[in-house]
Amino acid sequence: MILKWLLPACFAVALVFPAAAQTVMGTDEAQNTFIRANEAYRRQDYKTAHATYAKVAAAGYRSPELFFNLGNASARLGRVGESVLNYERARELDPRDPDIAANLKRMAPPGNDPQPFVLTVPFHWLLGVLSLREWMGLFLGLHVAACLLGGCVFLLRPGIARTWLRRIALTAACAAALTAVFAAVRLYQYQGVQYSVVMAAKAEVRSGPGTGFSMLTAVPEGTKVRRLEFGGDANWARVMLMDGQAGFVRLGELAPI
Amino acid sequence: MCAFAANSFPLRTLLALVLFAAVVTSARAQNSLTARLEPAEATIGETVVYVLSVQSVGDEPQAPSLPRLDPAWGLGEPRFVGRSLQTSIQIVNGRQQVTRSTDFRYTLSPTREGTFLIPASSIDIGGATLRANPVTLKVTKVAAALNVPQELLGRVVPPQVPGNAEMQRALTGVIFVLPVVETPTPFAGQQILLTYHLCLDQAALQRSGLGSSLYADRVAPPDLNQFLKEEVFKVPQSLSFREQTIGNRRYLVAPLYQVAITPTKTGTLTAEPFSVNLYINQRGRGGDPFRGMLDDDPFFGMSPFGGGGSRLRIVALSPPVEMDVRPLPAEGRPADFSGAVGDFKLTAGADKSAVTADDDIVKLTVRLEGHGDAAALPKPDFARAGGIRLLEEPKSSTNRRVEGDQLVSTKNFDFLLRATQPGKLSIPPVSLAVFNPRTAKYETLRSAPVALDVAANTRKQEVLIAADTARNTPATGASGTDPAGPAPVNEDIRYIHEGVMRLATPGMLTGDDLLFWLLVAGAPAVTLGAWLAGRRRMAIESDTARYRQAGAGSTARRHLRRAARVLNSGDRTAFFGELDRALRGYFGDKFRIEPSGLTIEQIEASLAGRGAAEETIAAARGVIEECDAARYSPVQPGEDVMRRAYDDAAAVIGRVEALR
Repeated sequence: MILKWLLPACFAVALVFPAAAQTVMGTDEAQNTFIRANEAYRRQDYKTAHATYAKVAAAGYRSPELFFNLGNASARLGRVGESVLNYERARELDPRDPDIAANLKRMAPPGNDPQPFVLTVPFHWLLGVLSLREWMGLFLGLHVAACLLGGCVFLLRPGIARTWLRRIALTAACAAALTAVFAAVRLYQYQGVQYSVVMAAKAEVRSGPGTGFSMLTAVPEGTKVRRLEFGGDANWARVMLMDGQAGFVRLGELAPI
Repeated sequence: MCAFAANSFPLRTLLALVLFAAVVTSARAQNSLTARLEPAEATIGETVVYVLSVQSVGDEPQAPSLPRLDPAWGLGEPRFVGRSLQTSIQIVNGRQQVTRSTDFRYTLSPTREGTFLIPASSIDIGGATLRANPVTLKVTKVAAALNVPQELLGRVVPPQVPGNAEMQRALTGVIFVLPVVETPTPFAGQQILLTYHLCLDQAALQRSGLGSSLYADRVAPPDLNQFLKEEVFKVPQSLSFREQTIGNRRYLVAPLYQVAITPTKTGTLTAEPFSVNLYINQRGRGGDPFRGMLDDDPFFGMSPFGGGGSRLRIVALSPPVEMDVRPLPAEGRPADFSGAVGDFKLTAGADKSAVTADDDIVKLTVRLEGHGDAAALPKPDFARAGGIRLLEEPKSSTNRRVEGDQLVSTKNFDFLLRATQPGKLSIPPVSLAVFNPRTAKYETLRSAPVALDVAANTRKQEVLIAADTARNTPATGASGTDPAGPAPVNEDIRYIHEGVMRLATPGMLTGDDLLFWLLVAGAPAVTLGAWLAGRRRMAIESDTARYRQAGAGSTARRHLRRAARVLNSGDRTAFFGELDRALRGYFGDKFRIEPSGLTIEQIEASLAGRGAAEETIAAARGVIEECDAARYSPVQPGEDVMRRAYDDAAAVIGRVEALR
């Protein structure tokens, strides 16, 4: 009896709960605040613009325009690390926006986006064309279409219509399988790997978690790193630089993308 | 003969008595306690050694009980300085016997003239209490034969010359280990130097018939368990003698051992004696008489039996060093005092005076230098200042050096700082509260502030150059009006995106939402359902009769429901037509006979072939005939007839369904 109502209840909560995070600031209010921040930016009051954009972001809203504009305001205030962080977040939501790519290229230190292995360049290029949501949506669409078309194939009587429908269904299934690969890689990049940005002017990368260990290199503000381990020392994080070098950086000098 | 016999009897008796006495005496002599003084005549201030020699058989003897000395004698309390032990093993009457000779040595420091009878000491051995002989000490005012300088009175211990008391007496004040402590009344936590010097009166040695070559082994520095210690100068391989006049005598003095000690508690603490075995040639008895003490010969490592001559073994001792450790005063103690004791100076300096904000790291070195235990110094307090950030806890390094007779220690702390804002900043002073034993007062050491010239970080400013590309910001000209045309752009960062935000719903299509996975799992379920439906339809189409037979009952019930609806509407012809279709259709599907040509006889035969009861067959026949009659009869049957026919038909169908 309880189980009969449990699943629908969970389903309802799952739909309602994401919306609950945004009850602190309503959608309309968020949009209006965003517009006010734009006005402040237009009159070159970057400090006010930054604070206003940050207020919307703190309310839990995620938008490529919001993060891009926040990155611009951070850059105007000289906060390189923060600008790179927000441009990366904007790029995650809208990977095809040329403005985001240009500003990120301008602000980030060289080496943040290393060139992949030459044989994987087409794969990475295609992967970067769509965002995670777009790949997941495309996969879901193709998957559902393939399943529905397949069902229709089974219900139709043999004939030309059934033949063509089967071909279309198979094509959709293959496309769905291919899209699933890209979506899975994107999902892994989103959930399985955490990237962070260095927020300190110069962060030391050491061979161990502590100042007693030798210093391997120093990286500038805005450098993107990949977190390797979680837990362990509370003050130091094990990271891998984009060039493959691994080391330890003070946790307080990193911000997750 | 009788006379001889009469004369030999008393002789044998006497011999037996002598033997008996010898046996008894020897038995009693196996455990013995004797006392002696070295020397028995001394002068005021001279150290006298009171030696208790214990001879015991079997177990090692415990320390003897000393007599109580009258304080009025001015001899002080006997102070234990050491003991020596010799063991010999004998076989007596086939049994092993271990004999131990133990000397317990105590020092006395007479301060009054007179003759004093020191009572007997006692010791418990083998269940019996042995008492030593009392000894007499004669103390005179003038230092006669001993010739010890006044400055050394009470500070030297006569050397031990085993088996040669005369030489021991002669060498008192000639060979000794002199302890020199920086201060006998240090404060708790104050680090002081303790140095042991070997002193030799070369002229006196020669007058005593001893040569100039001196070798040593078995050096025993004190344990100093009551102190924290840090060795400064370990016993060297070669001694470096220098001449020094003490009183009216010239000595050769060489440092043997130096240690920095820090008392850990208050009260009277004692540094144990220092001892070293020395071997010296006896003149005229071999050896090289021309080898001088100042020759660069190794002090250690030479066999005392080498060289072809006889050598005298001397154990040079130092007296124990008593220190009265004072507690730190409570008056004037700062609240932030953390226990640092010493006479230190604090300075601070930065490795850069001009830096860039948020870029360069400045190393501020704080240096504490002076006399004291630098290793124990805590980290100075670094005051927070606006615009300067401390990056991490400072590293420290310690070193020391000896200057003259004092130990100078240094401790450096390296603070790593970074300026976070441009301008002329000042690194605040660092401070440390210490207790200075030299002034016996608490002090707060404070460094001077360090000026820092911080330039703005121009690399960040370059980012802010130029207008945005998507919008031309009008610049104000000298006349206050907007200049004509757009301002040039430097393609810096692109302009913001205006308009409304495209909001991404949190969790949607990111693998976190349930709906996504329901759709992913549900779509194949739909396909599966369609596949099953397709298969069923194919099965039906390939064997219609079989599927009709299987669905005969449900088809009949459907017709019956339709008939029931028609019954309620009152259309009797339609009702009986539907009822007939239900029955004929049912029997046709059930028995795989085309319903249109199905006769009552075929139905009866099929029912009989299925093993139906006569009543069922009759009931079936009756209902079908009634339907035929009602359909074609001009007389319309009543409603009750229709209902009865309906019930009969349902009953027949039910009974036939029950058949196998």
